[in-house]
Amino acid sequence: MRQKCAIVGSPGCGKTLLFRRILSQGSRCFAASDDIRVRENDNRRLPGTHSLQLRIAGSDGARREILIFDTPGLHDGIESCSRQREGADTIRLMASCDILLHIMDAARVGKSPHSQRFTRVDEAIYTFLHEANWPELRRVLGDRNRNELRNGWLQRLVPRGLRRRTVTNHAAEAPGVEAPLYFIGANKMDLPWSQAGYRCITEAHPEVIVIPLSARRGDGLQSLLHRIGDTKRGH
Amino acid sequence: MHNSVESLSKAEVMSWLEDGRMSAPTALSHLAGEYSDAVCPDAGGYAPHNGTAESEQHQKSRGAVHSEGMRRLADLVGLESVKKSVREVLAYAYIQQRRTELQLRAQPLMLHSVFSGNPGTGKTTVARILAQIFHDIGVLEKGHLVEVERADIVGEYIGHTAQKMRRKVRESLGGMLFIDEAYSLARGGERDFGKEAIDAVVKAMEDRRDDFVLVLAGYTREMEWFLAQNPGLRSRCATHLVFPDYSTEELVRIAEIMLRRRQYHLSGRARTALWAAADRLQGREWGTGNARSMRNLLERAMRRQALRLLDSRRVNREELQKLRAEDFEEMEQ
Repeated sequence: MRQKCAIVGSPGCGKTLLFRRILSQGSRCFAASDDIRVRENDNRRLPGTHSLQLRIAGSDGARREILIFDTPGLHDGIESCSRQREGADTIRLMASCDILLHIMDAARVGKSPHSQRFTRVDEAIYTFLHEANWPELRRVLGDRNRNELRNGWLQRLVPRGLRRRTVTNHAAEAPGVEAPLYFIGANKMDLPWSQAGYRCITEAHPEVIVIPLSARRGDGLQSLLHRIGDTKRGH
Repeated sequence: MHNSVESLSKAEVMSWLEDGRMSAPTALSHLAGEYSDAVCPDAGGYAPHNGTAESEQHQKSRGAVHSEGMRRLADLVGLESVKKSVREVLAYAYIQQRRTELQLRAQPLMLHSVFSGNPGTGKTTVARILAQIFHDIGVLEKGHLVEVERADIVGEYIGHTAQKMRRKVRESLGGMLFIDEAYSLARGGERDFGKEAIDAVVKAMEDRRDDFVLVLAGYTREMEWFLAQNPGLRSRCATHLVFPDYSTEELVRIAEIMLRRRQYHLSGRARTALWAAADRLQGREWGTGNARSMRNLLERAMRRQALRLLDSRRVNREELQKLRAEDFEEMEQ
Protein backbone atom coordinates (compact mmCIF):
# COMPACT_ATOMS: atom_id res chain seq x y z
CA MET A 1 0.00 0.00 0.00
CA ARG A 2 1.30 3.38 -0.93
CA GLN A 3 2.16 5.76 1.85
CA LYS A 4 2.25 9.51 1.73
CA CYS A 5 5.17 11.38 3.20
CA ALA A 6 5.05 15.16 3.54
CA ILE A 7 8.18 17.27 3.92
CA VAL A 8 7.24 20.31 5.96
CA GLY A 9 9.03 23.15 7.74
CA SER A 10 9.72 26.86 7.85
CA PRO A 11 10.73 28.67 4.67
CA GLY A 12 14.37 28.34 3.78
CA CYS A 13 15.13 25.27 5.87
CA GLY A 14 16.03 23.25 2.78
CA LYS A 15 12.93 21.23 2.00
CA THR A 16 13.03 21.68 -1.74
CA LEU A 17 16.75 21.03 -2.04
CA LEU A 18 16.29 17.83 -0.06
CA PHE A 19 13.41 16.91 -2.30
CA ARG A 20 15.54 17.49 -5.37
CA ARG A 21 18.31 15.38 -3.87
CA ILE A 22 15.90 12.51 -3.38
CA LEU A 23 14.72 13.05 -6.93
CA SER A 24 18.24 12.88 -8.32
CA GLN A 25 18.77 9.50 -6.66
CA GLY A 26 17.20 8.55 -9.95
CA SER A 27 16.97 4.80 -10.03
CA ARG A 28 14.72 4.54 -7.02
CA CYS A 29 12.34 7.14 -8.24
CA PHE A 30 9.84 6.13 -10.83
CA ALA A 31 7.46 9.01 -11.11
CA ALA A 32 7.52 12.66 -10.39
CA SER A 33 5.42 15.59 -11.36
CA ASP A 34 6.27 16.97 -14.79
CA ASP A 35 7.55 20.34 -13.87
CA ILE A 36 10.13 19.29 -11.31
CA ARG A 37 11.88 17.04 -13.79
CA VAL A 38 12.50 20.04 -15.95
CA ARG A 39 13.78 22.19 -13.17
CA GLU A 40 15.72 19.62 -11.27
CA ASN A 41 18.98 21.50 -11.12
CA ASP A 42 17.61 24.88 -10.60
CA ASN A 43 17.50 26.69 -7.31
CA ARG A 44 14.33 28.61 -7.76
CA ARG A 45 11.47 28.25 -5.37
CA LEU A 46 8.85 25.80 -6.56
CA PRO A 47 5.40 27.19 -5.97
CA GLY A 48 2.83 24.84 -4.53
CA THR A 49 3.12 21.22 -3.59
CA HIS A 50 5.07 18.67 -5.61
CA SER A 51 5.08 14.97 -5.39
CA LEU A 52 7.54 12.21 -6.10
CA GLN A 53 6.84 8.51 -6.13
CA LEU A 54 9.56 6.27 -4.75
CA ARG A 55 10.05 2.58 -4.38
CA ILE A 56 12.08 1.95 -1.30
CA ALA A 57 13.36 -1.33 0.03
CA GLY A 58 12.92 -1.60 3.75
CA SER A 59 15.37 -3.47 5.97
CA ASP A 60 13.08 -6.49 5.80
CA GLY A 61 13.61 -6.60 2.03
CA ALA A 62 10.04 -5.68 1.20
CA ARG A 63 9.60 -2.89 -1.27
CA ARG A 64 7.29 -0.09 -0.49
CA GLU A 65 5.85 2.63 -2.58
CA ILE A 66 6.12 6.04 -1.06
CA LEU A 67 4.69 9.22 -2.41
CA ILE A 68 6.83 12.08 -1.18
CA PHE A 69 5.43 15.59 -1.16
CA ASP A 70 7.49 18.73 -1.13
CA THR A 71 5.50 21.57 0.39
CA PRO A 72 5.91 25.34 0.39
CA GLY A 73 7.35 26.64 3.65
CA LEU A 74 4.92 27.61 6.35
CA HIS A 75 5.45 31.21 7.36
CA ASP A 76 5.28 32.48 10.91
CA GLY A 77 3.21 35.50 10.06
CA ILE A 78 0.38 36.25 7.72
CA GLU A 79 1.49 36.47 4.15
CA SER A 80 0.05 37.17 0.73
CA CYS A 81 -3.14 35.43 -0.35
CA SER A 82 -1.41 32.85 -2.51
CA ARG A 83 0.99 31.94 0.29
CA GLN A 84 -1.91 31.60 2.72
CA ARG A 85 -3.66 29.24 0.32
CA GLU A 86 -0.49 27.24 -0.11
CA GLY A 87 -0.21 27.08 3.67
CA ALA A 88 -3.75 25.77 3.92
CA ASP A 89 -3.03 23.14 1.27
CA THR A 90 0.07 22.12 3.16
CA ILE A 91 -1.85 21.72 6.39
CA ARG A 92 -4.49 19.61 4.63
CA LEU A 93 -1.73 17.47 3.25
CA MET A 94 -0.24 17.13 6.71
CA ALA A 95 -3.62 16.01 7.97
CA SER A 96 -3.83 13.29 5.34
CA CYS A 97 -0.26 12.00 5.21
CA ASP A 98 1.18 8.88 6.81
CA ILE A 99 4.69 10.12 7.44
CA LEU A 100 5.56 13.64 8.43
CA LEU A 101 9.14 14.68 7.85
CA HIS A 102 9.72 17.91 9.68
CA ILE A 103 12.82 19.69 8.41
CA MET A 104 14.62 22.16 10.65
CA ASP A 105 17.63 24.30 9.84
CA ALA A 106 20.13 23.00 12.39
CA ALA A 107 22.60 25.79 11.68
CA ARG A 108 19.99 28.39 12.42
CA VAL A 109 18.89 26.62 15.57
CA GLY A 110 22.52 26.43 16.67
CA LYS A 111 23.30 30.09 16.38
CA SER A 112 20.01 31.58 17.54
CA PRO A 113 19.57 32.74 21.12
CA HIS A 114 17.69 30.34 23.33
CA SER A 115 14.23 31.87 22.96
CA GLN A 116 14.37 31.97 19.16
CA ARG A 117 15.77 28.55 18.45
CA PHE A 118 12.55 27.16 17.13
CA THR A 119 10.29 29.17 14.89
CA ARG A 120 6.62 29.45 15.76
CA VAL A 121 5.94 27.14 12.84
CA ASP A 122 8.34 24.54 14.19
CA GLU A 123 6.70 24.54 17.59
CA ALA A 124 3.22 24.56 16.07
CA ILE A 125 3.94 21.58 13.83
CA TYR A 126 5.20 19.62 16.81
CA THR A 127 2.18 20.37 19.01
CA PHE A 128 -0.15 19.86 16.06
CA LEU A 129 1.20 16.39 15.59
CA HIS A 130 1.18 15.39 19.22
CA GLU A 131 -1.96 17.00 20.52
CA ALA A 132 -4.45 17.00 17.68
CA ASN A 133 -7.39 14.67 17.77
CA TRP A 134 -6.26 12.69 14.77
CA PRO A 135 -9.31 10.56 14.01
CA GLU A 136 -11.42 13.70 13.91
CA LEU A 137 -8.82 15.67 12.00
CA ARG A 138 -8.50 12.94 9.41
CA ARG A 139 -12.24 12.85 9.02
CA VAL A 140 -12.77 16.58 8.71
CA LEU A 141 -9.80 17.62 6.62
CA GLY A 142 -9.34 14.28 4.86
CA ASP A 143 -12.75 14.47 3.23
CA ARG A 144 -11.96 17.77 1.67
CA ASN A 145 -8.66 16.39 0.55
CA ARG A 146 -10.24 13.40 -1.14
CA ASN A 147 -12.73 15.60 -2.91
CA GLU A 148 -9.96 17.74 -4.14
CA LEU A 149 -8.16 14.71 -5.43
CA ARG A 150 -11.19 13.87 -7.51
CA ASN A 151 -11.46 17.42 -8.70
CA GLY A 152 -7.94 17.33 -9.96
CA TRP A 153 -6.17 19.25 -7.21
CA LEU A 154 -3.46 16.64 -7.16
CA GLN A 155 -3.88 15.48 -10.69
CA ARG A 156 -1.64 18.19 -11.96
CA LEU A 157 1.19 16.93 -9.79
CA VAL A 158 1.19 13.50 -11.32
CA PRO A 159 2.91 12.74 -14.65
CA ARG A 160 0.56 12.60 -17.56
CA GLY A 161 0.92 8.89 -18.26
CA LEU A 162 0.20 7.89 -14.68
CA ARG A 163 -2.51 10.34 -14.04
CA ARG A 164 -5.69 8.36 -14.13
CA ARG A 165 -4.38 5.33 -12.35
CA THR A 166 -2.72 7.28 -9.61
CA VAL A 167 -5.70 9.40 -8.95
CA THR A 168 -8.15 6.56 -8.75
CA ASN A 169 -5.85 4.69 -6.45
CA HIS A 170 -5.50 7.70 -4.29
CA ALA A 171 -9.14 8.39 -4.02
CA ALA A 172 -9.69 4.83 -2.91
CA GLU A 173 -7.13 5.10 -0.13
CA ALA A 174 -8.76 6.44 2.96
CA PRO A 175 -6.20 7.97 5.27
CA GLY A 176 -5.55 6.09 8.46
CA VAL A 177 -7.02 7.29 11.70
CA GLU A 178 -3.87 7.52 13.73
CA ALA A 179 -1.28 10.23 13.85
CA PRO A 180 1.34 10.04 11.14
CA LEU A 181 4.83 8.92 11.93
CA TYR A 182 6.96 11.87 12.78
CA PHE A 183 10.63 12.43 12.04
CA ILE A 184 12.67 15.53 12.38
CA GLY A 185 15.30 16.14 9.75
CA ALA A 186 18.08 18.36 11.07
CA ASN A 187 19.23 19.90 7.81
CA LYS A 188 22.30 21.93 6.86
CA MET A 189 24.63 19.78 8.95
CA ASP A 190 27.50 20.91 6.72
CA LEU A 191 27.35 24.44 8.13
CA PRO A 192 29.04 25.74 11.27
CA TRP A 193 26.86 25.81 14.41
CA SER A 194 24.84 22.90 13.11
CA GLN A 195 26.33 20.47 15.65
CA ALA A 196 25.07 22.66 18.48
CA GLY A 197 21.75 22.97 16.66
CA TYR A 198 21.46 19.21 16.33
CA ARG A 199 22.08 18.82 20.06
CA CYS A 200 19.42 21.40 20.83
CA ILE A 201 16.87 19.66 18.65
CA THR A 202 17.50 16.25 20.18
CA GLU A 203 17.35 17.70 23.67
CA ALA A 204 14.14 19.57 22.99
CA HIS A 205 12.41 16.53 21.46
CA PRO A 206 14.02 13.50 23.12
CA GLU A 207 11.30 11.06 22.05
CA VAL A 208 11.51 11.91 18.35
CA ILE A 209 13.97 10.42 15.89
CA VAL A 210 16.14 13.26 14.62
CA ILE A 211 17.97 12.49 11.39
CA PRO A 212 21.04 14.63 10.62
CA LEU A 213 21.00 15.69 6.98
CA SER A 214 22.84 17.85 4.57
CA ALA A 215 20.75 18.34 1.49
CA ARG A 216 23.52 20.31 -0.14
CA ARG A 217 26.10 17.54 0.16
CA GLY A 218 23.64 14.67 0.10
CA ASP A 219 24.69 13.38 3.55
CA GLY A 220 22.20 11.37 5.54
CA LEU A 221 19.96 10.78 2.56
CA GLN A 222 20.32 7.01 2.62
CA SER A 223 19.50 6.71 6.29
CA LEU A 224 16.52 8.97 5.76
CA LEU A 225 15.19 6.82 2.93
CA HIS A 226 15.74 3.67 4.99
CA ARG A 227 13.85 5.19 7.87
CA ILE A 228 10.97 6.05 5.60
CA GLY A 229 11.13 2.68 3.92
CA ASP A 230 11.00 0.87 7.24
CA THR A 231 7.82 2.47 8.40
CA LYS A 232 4.63 0.57 8.46
CA ARG A 233 1.35 2.23 9.10
CA GLY A 234 -0.85 0.97 11.81
CA HIS A 235 1.67 -0.12 14.42
CA MET B 1 -20.05 35.25 12.85
CA HIS B 2 -18.45 33.71 15.88
CA ASN B 3 -18.24 35.20 19.26
CA SER B 4 -14.78 34.02 19.94
CA VAL B 5 -11.87 32.15 18.56
CA GLU B 6 -12.48 29.04 20.59
CA SER B 7 -15.72 28.19 18.84
CA LEU B 8 -14.09 27.88 15.42
CA SER B 9 -14.50 24.51 13.83
CA LYS B 10 -11.63 22.89 12.01
CA ALA B 11 -13.04 23.69 8.59
CA GLU B 12 -13.45 27.31 9.64
CA VAL B 13 -9.88 27.44 10.84
CA MET B 14 -8.82 26.39 7.37
CA SER B 15 -10.91 29.06 5.70
CA TRP B 16 -9.55 31.70 8.11
CA LEU B 17 -6.09 30.59 7.16
CA GLU B 18 -6.90 30.84 3.48
CA ASP B 19 -8.42 34.27 3.91
CA GLY B 20 -5.30 35.54 5.60
CA ARG B 21 -7.02 36.09 8.91
CA MET B 22 -4.81 33.64 10.72
CA SER B 23 -1.19 32.62 10.38
CA ALA B 24 -0.11 29.05 9.73
CA PRO B 25 1.27 28.35 13.24
CA THR B 26 -1.89 29.70 14.85
CA ALA B 27 -4.01 27.56 12.57
CA LEU B 28 -1.95 24.50 13.48
CA SER B 29 -2.38 25.20 17.18
CA HIS B 30 -6.12 25.58 16.71
CA LEU B 31 -6.30 22.30 14.86
CA ALA B 32 -4.35 20.72 17.68
CA GLY B 33 -7.07 21.89 20.02
CA GLU B 34 -5.11 24.58 21.81
CA TYR B 35 -6.23 28.15 22.32
CA SER B 36 -9.14 27.39 24.51
CA ASP B 37 -8.18 30.66 26.09
CA ALA B 38 -9.00 33.35 23.61
CA VAL B 39 -5.49 34.75 23.56
CA CYS B 40 -4.39 34.94 20.00
CA PRO B 41 -0.79 35.71 19.10
CA ASP B 42 -1.77 37.13 15.73
CA ALA B 43 -3.96 39.71 17.31
CA GLY B 44 -1.23 42.27 17.95
CA GLY B 45 -3.21 44.60 20.16
CA TYR B 46 -6.44 45.16 18.33
CA ALA B 47 -7.87 41.65 18.49
CA PRO B 48 -9.06 41.20 14.93
CA HIS B 49 -9.94 37.62 15.64
CA ASN B 50 -12.76 38.54 17.85
CA GLY B 51 -15.33 38.28 15.13
CA THR B 52 -18.05 40.39 16.71
CA ALA B 53 -15.85 43.23 17.77
CA GLU B 54 -14.30 43.36 14.35
CA SER B 55 -17.55 43.52 12.48
CA GLU B 56 -18.96 46.13 14.84
CA GLN B 57 -15.91 48.30 14.46
CA HIS B 58 -16.10 47.75 10.74
CA GLN B 59 -19.73 48.72 10.53
CA LYS B 60 -19.12 51.70 12.73
CA SER B 61 -16.36 53.07 10.58
CA ARG B 62 -18.05 52.25 7.30
CA GLY B 63 -21.22 53.78 8.63
CA ALA B 64 -19.34 56.91 9.55
CA VAL B 65 -18.03 57.20 6.03
CA HIS B 66 -21.59 57.45 4.84
CA SER B 67 -23.34 59.26 7.65
CA GLU B 68 -23.30 62.21 10.04
CA GLY B 69 -20.12 64.06 9.11
CA MET B 70 -20.46 63.17 5.48
CA ARG B 71 -24.02 64.45 5.45
CA ARG B 72 -22.88 67.71 6.95
CA LEU B 73 -20.22 67.91 4.28
CA ALA B 74 -22.70 67.10 1.53
CA ASP B 75 -25.00 69.81 2.85
CA LEU B 76 -22.39 72.45 2.14
CA VAL B 77 -23.22 74.39 -0.98
CA GLY B 78 -20.84 73.97 -3.89
CA LEU B 79 -17.23 72.97 -3.11
CA GLU B 80 -17.53 69.96 -5.39
CA SER B 81 -13.78 69.52 -5.84
CA VAL B 82 -13.24 69.74 -2.08
CA LYS B 83 -15.93 67.14 -1.41
CA LYS B 84 -14.38 64.83 -3.94
CA SER B 85 -10.94 65.09 -2.37
CA VAL B 86 -12.36 64.57 1.11
CA ARG B 87 -14.17 61.45 -0.04
CA GLU B 88 -10.90 60.22 -1.51
CA VAL B 89 -8.99 60.80 1.71
CA LEU B 90 -11.69 59.13 3.78
CA ALA B 91 -11.99 56.13 1.51
CA TYR B 92 -8.22 55.74 1.74
CA ALA B 93 -8.19 56.00 5.54
CA TYR B 94 -11.05 53.55 5.81
CA ILE B 95 -9.55 51.01 3.43
CA GLN B 96 -6.19 51.18 5.17
CA GLN B 97 -8.01 50.33 8.38
CA ARG B 98 -9.73 47.40 6.75
CA ARG B 99 -6.39 46.22 5.43
CA THR B 100 -4.92 46.29 8.92
CA GLU B 101 -7.84 44.28 10.21
CA LEU B 102 -7.24 41.62 7.59
CA GLN B 103 -3.53 41.60 8.38
CA LEU B 104 -2.41 43.22 5.19
CA ARG B 105 0.31 45.81 5.26
CA ALA B 106 -1.15 49.27 5.57
CA GLN B 107 0.46 52.52 4.56
CA PRO B 108 0.78 55.09 7.29
CA LEU B 109 -1.89 57.69 6.84
CA MET B 110 -0.72 61.11 5.72
CA LEU B 111 -3.55 63.32 6.75
CA HIS B 112 -1.81 66.66 7.16
CA SER B 113 -3.26 69.01 4.62
CA VAL B 114 -3.14 72.44 3.12
CA PHE B 115 -6.38 74.35 2.61
CA SER B 116 -6.06 77.23 0.28
CA GLY B 117 -8.82 79.50 -0.82
CA ASN B 118 -10.06 83.04 -0.58
CA PRO B 119 -11.52 84.28 2.68
CA GLY B 120 -14.95 82.92 3.44
CA THR B 121 -14.84 79.94 1.10
CA GLY B 122 -15.41 77.41 3.88
CA LYS B 123 -11.94 76.38 5.02
CA THR B 124 -12.68 76.43 8.74
CA THR B 125 -16.08 74.85 8.28
CA VAL B 126 -14.67 71.97 6.26
CA ALA B 127 -11.83 71.52 8.77
CA ARG B 128 -14.32 71.24 11.62
CA ILE B 129 -16.40 68.67 9.73
CA LEU B 130 -13.31 66.76 8.69
CA ALA B 131 -12.12 66.55 12.30
CA GLN B 132 -15.47 65.07 13.26
CA ILE B 133 -15.39 62.55 10.42
CA PHE B 134 -11.86 61.48 11.30
CA HIS B 135 -13.06 60.99 14.82
CA ASP B 136 -16.04 58.93 13.62
CA ILE B 137 -13.96 56.54 11.57
CA GLY B 138 -11.54 56.20 14.44
CA VAL B 139 -8.50 57.94 13.00
CA LEU B 140 -8.56 60.74 15.55
CA GLU B 141 -9.16 60.01 19.19
CA LYS B 142 -11.09 63.14 20.13
CA GLY B 143 -11.82 64.93 16.87
CA HIS B 144 -11.74 68.47 18.25
CA LEU B 145 -10.43 71.43 16.32
CA VAL B 146 -7.82 73.75 17.77
CA GLU B 147 -7.74 76.92 15.75
CA VAL B 148 -4.62 79.00 16.04
CA GLU B 149 -3.17 81.97 14.28
CA ARG B 150 0.21 83.63 14.22
CA ALA B 151 -0.16 85.37 17.56
CA ASP B 152 -0.92 82.09 19.32
CA ILE B 153 2.24 80.32 18.27
CA VAL B 154 4.88 82.92 17.59
CA GLY B 155 6.62 84.02 20.76
CA GLU B 156 8.22 87.24 21.84
CA TYR B 157 11.68 86.10 22.72
CA ILE B 158 14.05 83.33 21.69
CA GLY B 159 12.75 79.93 22.74
CA HIS B 160 9.29 81.23 23.52
CA THR B 161 7.94 80.18 20.14
CA ALA B 162 8.85 76.50 20.44
CA GLN B 163 7.29 76.49 23.89
CA LYS B 164 4.03 78.01 22.68
CA MET B 165 3.95 75.70 19.69
CA ARG B 166 4.45 72.65 21.86
CA ARG B 167 1.60 73.72 24.09
CA LYS B 168 -0.72 74.11 21.12
CA VAL B 169 0.32 70.76 19.67
CA ARG B 170 -0.32 69.14 23.04
CA GLU B 171 -3.75 70.74 23.14
CA SER B 172 -4.58 69.38 19.73
CA LEU B 173 -3.43 65.80 20.30
CA GLY B 174 -6.18 63.46 19.21
CA GLY B 175 -7.69 66.23 17.16
CA MET B 176 -6.89 68.72 14.49
CA LEU B 177 -4.56 71.71 14.65
CA PHE B 178 -5.78 74.36 12.29
CA ILE B 179 -3.28 77.12 11.59
CA ASP B 180 -5.18 79.92 9.98
CA GLU B 181 -3.31 82.27 7.71
CA ALA B 182 -0.28 80.03 7.97
CA TYR B 183 1.66 82.12 5.48
CA SER B 184 1.99 84.86 8.09
CA LEU B 185 4.52 82.62 9.85
CA ALA B 186 6.97 83.16 7.04
CA ARG B 187 6.44 86.89 6.91
CA GLY B 188 8.59 89.36 8.73
CA GLY B 189 12.05 88.62 7.42
CA GLU B 190 15.06 86.78 8.71
CA ARG B 191 14.92 87.82 12.35
CA ASP B 192 11.28 86.93 12.78
CA PHE B 193 10.37 84.13 15.18
CA GLY B 194 7.89 82.81 12.61
CA LYS B 195 10.69 80.70 11.14
CA GLU B 196 11.14 79.07 14.51
CA ALA B 197 7.42 78.30 14.55
CA ILE B 198 7.66 76.63 11.15
CA ASP B 199 10.54 74.46 12.34
CA ALA B 200 8.55 73.50 15.41
CA VAL B 201 5.54 72.61 13.25
CA VAL B 202 7.64 70.41 10.99
CA LYS B 203 9.12 68.67 13.99
CA ALA B 204 5.71 68.07 15.52
CA MET B 205 4.45 66.67 12.20
CA GLU B 206 7.25 64.13 12.25
CA ASP B 207 7.14 63.23 15.93
CA ARG B 208 3.42 63.03 16.49
CA ARG B 209 2.46 62.00 12.98
CA ASP B 210 -0.39 59.75 14.03
CA ASP B 211 -1.58 61.76 16.99
CA PHE B 212 -2.90 64.85 15.34
CA VAL B 213 -3.78 66.24 11.96
CA LEU B 214 -2.31 69.54 10.93
CA VAL B 215 -4.16 71.83 8.58
CA LEU B 216 -2.40 74.85 7.15
CA ALA B 217 -4.94 77.26 5.83
CA GLY B 218 -4.67 80.53 4.04
CA TYR B 219 -5.49 82.56 1.01
CA THR B 220 -4.56 80.94 -2.28
CA ARG B 221 -1.92 83.35 -3.44
CA GLU B 222 -0.18 83.70 -0.09
CA MET B 223 -0.22 79.95 0.52
CA GLU B 224 1.44 79.36 -2.84
CA TRP B 225 4.24 81.67 -1.83
CA PHE B 226 4.44 80.20 1.66
CA LEU B 227 4.75 76.60 0.45
CA ALA B 228 7.29 77.59 -2.16
CA GLN B 229 9.36 79.02 0.70
CA ASN B 230 9.07 75.83 2.73
CA PRO B 231 9.39 72.78 0.48
CA GLY B 232 9.57 70.56 3.56
CA LEU B 233 6.08 71.59 4.56
CA ARG B 234 4.71 71.11 1.07
CA SER B 235 5.97 67.56 0.83
CA ARG B 236 4.69 66.64 4.28
CA CYS B 237 1.17 67.71 3.51
CA ALA B 238 -0.38 64.97 1.42
CA THR B 239 -3.66 66.67 0.72
CA HIS B 240 -4.01 70.05 -0.91
CA LEU B 241 -7.56 71.23 -0.96
CA VAL B 242 -8.26 74.26 -3.09
CA PHE B 243 -11.43 76.08 -2.16
CA PRO B 244 -12.81 77.82 -5.23
CA ASP B 245 -14.79 81.04 -5.05
CA TYR B 246 -18.54 80.61 -4.99
CA SER B 247 -20.56 81.32 -8.09
CA THR B 248 -23.55 83.66 -7.92
CA GLU B 249 -26.00 80.76 -7.73
CA GLU B 250 -24.10 79.18 -4.91
CA LEU B 251 -23.95 82.46 -3.03
CA VAL B 252 -27.70 82.82 -3.33
CA ARG B 253 -28.26 79.27 -2.14
CA ILE B 254 -25.97 79.92 0.81
CA ALA B 255 -27.90 83.07 1.60
CA GLU B 256 -31.18 81.19 1.49
CA ILE B 257 -29.87 78.54 3.87
CA MET B 258 -28.59 81.22 6.24
CA LEU B 259 -31.91 82.99 6.17
CA ARG B 260 -33.89 79.82 6.77
CA ARG B 261 -31.72 79.03 9.75
CA ARG B 262 -32.37 82.49 11.16
CA GLN B 263 -36.10 82.26 10.39
CA TYR B 264 -36.18 85.01 7.82
CA HIS B 265 -37.48 84.86 4.32
CA LEU B 266 -37.42 87.02 1.25
CA SER B 267 -40.15 88.81 -0.55
CA GLY B 268 -40.26 88.30 -4.30
CA ARG B 269 -38.50 91.55 -5.10
CA ALA B 270 -36.01 91.04 -2.33
CA ARG B 271 -34.95 87.81 -4.01
CA THR B 272 -34.10 89.72 -7.19
CA ALA B 273 -32.23 92.28 -5.14
CA LEU B 274 -30.29 89.50 -3.43
CA TRP B 275 -29.30 88.04 -6.80
CA ALA B 276 -28.11 91.43 -7.93
CA ALA B 277 -26.13 91.89 -4.73
CA ALA B 278 -24.56 88.43 -5.05
CA ASP B 279 -23.64 89.19 -8.60
CA ARG B 280 -21.96 92.41 -7.53
CA LEU B 281 -20.01 90.53 -4.82
CA GLN B 282 -18.94 88.01 -7.40
CA GLY B 283 -17.72 90.56 -9.88
CA ARG B 284 -15.49 92.35 -7.41
CA GLU B 285 -11.82 91.83 -6.76
CA TRP B 286 -10.73 88.58 -5.14
CA GLY B 287 -11.67 87.90 -1.58
CA THR B 288 -15.23 89.15 -1.65
CA GLY B 289 -16.98 86.47 -3.69
CA ASN B 290 -17.55 84.43 -0.64
CA ALA B 291 -19.92 83.31 2.00
CA ARG B 292 -18.67 85.65 4.69
CA SER B 293 -19.46 88.80 2.74
CA MET B 294 -22.78 87.21 1.95
CA ARG B 295 -23.41 86.81 5.65
CA ASN B 296 -22.40 90.41 6.28
CA LEU B 297 -24.75 91.51 3.54
CA LEU B 298 -27.61 89.58 5.08
CA GLU B 299 -26.88 90.85 8.55
CA ARG B 300 -26.93 94.40 7.31
CA ALA B 301 -30.20 93.69 5.55
CA MET B 302 -31.60 92.40 8.82
CA ARG B 303 -30.53 95.54 10.59
CA ARG B 304 -32.19 97.61 7.85
CA GLN B 305 -35.32 95.57 8.31
CA ALA B 306 -35.23 96.21 12.03
CA LEU B 307 -34.90 99.93 11.41
CA ARG B 308 -37.75 99.84 8.92
CA LEU B 309 -40.04 97.95 11.26
CA LEU B 310 -39.30 100.29 14.15
CA ASP B 311 -41.09 103.06 12.28
CA SER B 312 -43.85 100.84 11.03
CA ARG B 313 -47.26 100.49 12.66
CA ARG B 314 -48.16 96.94 11.97
CA VAL B 315 -45.52 94.55 13.19
CA ASN B 316 -46.82 91.03 13.00
CA ARG B 317 -45.14 87.66 12.92
CA GLU B 318 -45.15 87.64 9.14
CA GLU B 319 -43.51 91.05 8.84
CA LEU B 320 -40.84 90.17 11.38
CA GLN B 321 -39.68 87.36 9.13
CA LYS B 322 -39.81 89.14 5.81
CA LEU B 323 -36.90 90.93 4.19
CA ARG B 324 -37.96 93.35 1.51
CA ALA B 325 -36.13 94.66 -1.51
CA GLU B 326 -35.49 98.04 0.09
CA ASP B 327 -33.51 96.36 2.86
CA PHE B 328 -31.01 95.30 0.27
CA GLU B 329 -31.01 98.37 -1.89
CA GLU B 330 -30.28 101.00 0.69
CA MET B 331 -27.15 99.36 1.99
CA GLU B 332 -25.34 99.67 -1.32
CA GLN B 333 -24.67 103.34 -0.74
